[in-house]
Amino acid sequence: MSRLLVSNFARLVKNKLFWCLCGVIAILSVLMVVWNFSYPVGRIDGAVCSYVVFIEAAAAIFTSLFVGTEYGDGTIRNKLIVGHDRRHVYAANLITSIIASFGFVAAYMIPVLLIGFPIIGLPSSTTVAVVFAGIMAQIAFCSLYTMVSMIFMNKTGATAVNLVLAFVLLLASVFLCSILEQPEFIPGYGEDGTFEYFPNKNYPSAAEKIVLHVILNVIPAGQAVKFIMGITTALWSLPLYSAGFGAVCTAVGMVVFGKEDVK
Amino acid sequence: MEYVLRTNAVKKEYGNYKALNGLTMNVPEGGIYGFVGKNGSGKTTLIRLACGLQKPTDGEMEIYGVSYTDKAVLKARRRMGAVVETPSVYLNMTAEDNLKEQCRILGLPSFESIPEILRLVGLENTGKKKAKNFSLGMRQRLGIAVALTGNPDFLILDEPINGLDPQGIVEIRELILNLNRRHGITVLVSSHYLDELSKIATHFGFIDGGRIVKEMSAKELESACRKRVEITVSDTKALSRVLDGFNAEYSLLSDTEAEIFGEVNVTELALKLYENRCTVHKINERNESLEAFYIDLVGGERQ
Repeated sequence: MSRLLVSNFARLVKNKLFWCLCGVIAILSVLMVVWNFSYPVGRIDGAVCSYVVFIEAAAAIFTSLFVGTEYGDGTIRNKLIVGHDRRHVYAANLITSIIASFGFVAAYMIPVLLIGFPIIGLPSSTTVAVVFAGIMAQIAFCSLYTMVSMIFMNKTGATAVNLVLAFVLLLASVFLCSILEQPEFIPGYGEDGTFEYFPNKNYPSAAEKIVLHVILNVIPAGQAVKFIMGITTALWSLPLYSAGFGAVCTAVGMVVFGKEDVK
Repeated sequence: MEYVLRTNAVKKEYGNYKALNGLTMNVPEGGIYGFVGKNGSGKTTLIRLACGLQKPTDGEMEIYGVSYTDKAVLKARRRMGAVVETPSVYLNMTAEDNLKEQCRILGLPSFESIPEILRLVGLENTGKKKAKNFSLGMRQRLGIAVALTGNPDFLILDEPINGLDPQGIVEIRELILNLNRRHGITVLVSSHYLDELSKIATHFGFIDGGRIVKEMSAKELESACRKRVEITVSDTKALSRVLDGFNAEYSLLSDTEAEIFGEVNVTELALKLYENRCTVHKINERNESLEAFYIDLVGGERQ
């Protein structure tokens, strides 16, 4: 598999899309720092925690096109014809996708470190933990996108599916988080015209909250939205959810790709 | 005889469609195997199976004597190179970069073989031109160059002359002959251009409806397609005497029927037979082309 990795890395280093996405992420990072600095009390934590959402989109685009090129140009055949195991081909593409996403993280974090920390201040220890949890979430994202890209043997189709997945998961996560953030009581006026607080009918029950948290933890995008919205969660559990999600995607992808008829 | 590829009753089904229906073929080492069949007959499907891109639904397949179900087949495949349907090259890379990529995939320690391979396929002067700007013939040759990286001793080419102009066809033909004769590479080449294949192949496999209908050597094909006269006479003993007198090459099919190969002076033959009290009942000249032979073989209609 090391040969496949060497080959993929050589392509990655020369990949213009990868460097373009790194550039776009770096610009977004600067904008996030400036935006958070403009608050009355600068929020470096907000700037740091937003990175997962940008990397989710970048990883979707990059993985689809990088892996899709192999199908589009037919070069995946060259790997199989000379006797590379399909699992190794899959794993090499997954690792390349993850390494590329680390590159995107670096592109985001370098401006935060160089500009954000000096002008806004250092992040809290919780935010540092969020970054590490976010890295696991991003690995889970890459597993999902690699699975889609390896199963769909069509570059355009895989890109479309991955982008739709990225946005649908993000929107679904925002929606679920908004339910979790519902206040228990909402203000209003009683029958006698006095100002009162009434129980919120949309406030989730304890059981519903547990289910919502689990769903959001399982979906990597859910974790990202939780970080941004500052929803309290057991940080130690998130990498476990991400690892589980990534393992399931990889197992499904490897089994399907292993049986697939390559043209 | 050593075989690089052998299949036995191989089947491949896509849903209800049977692409291969009990195909048995043997590709001998050292030759050029012409894999002939019309579109949709199953040529590319068989090649995909041989290359490990797909798995048979049923049947046996061996590469260098190793079954496709054996893990060791991955090692055996390292001795192979192939161009399946379209050339498998990165379109946004140069010819040299494509070969470097293939060297990395193969784990070759250096790129020193690249200039020689590029020279072999005639792409040594393409410089920084990317593969997406290559002509179809150049891409085809680049595909072959990629397949040749790693010095394989079995090369599979699927319809390598499709869409090429006459000059491109000649170049590919010369390249295949060169690879086989000078470099000792066994080549399996599929095509529906029978005349082209007949110029290079040493063995033929005719495929129709997902099965091999005939396997034969180039010599056998040549004799099957020779110009000949089919003759029905009252007595083949008399015919034999006359033909021996003419030093003609012939074969007796029955007491009354025979085939005479090569040019025959029919008037002279008829007069001699008359002198030998032998009556000619029927005489028919046949000059079967390769295409006609194939159409006869697969039961199609001549156009």
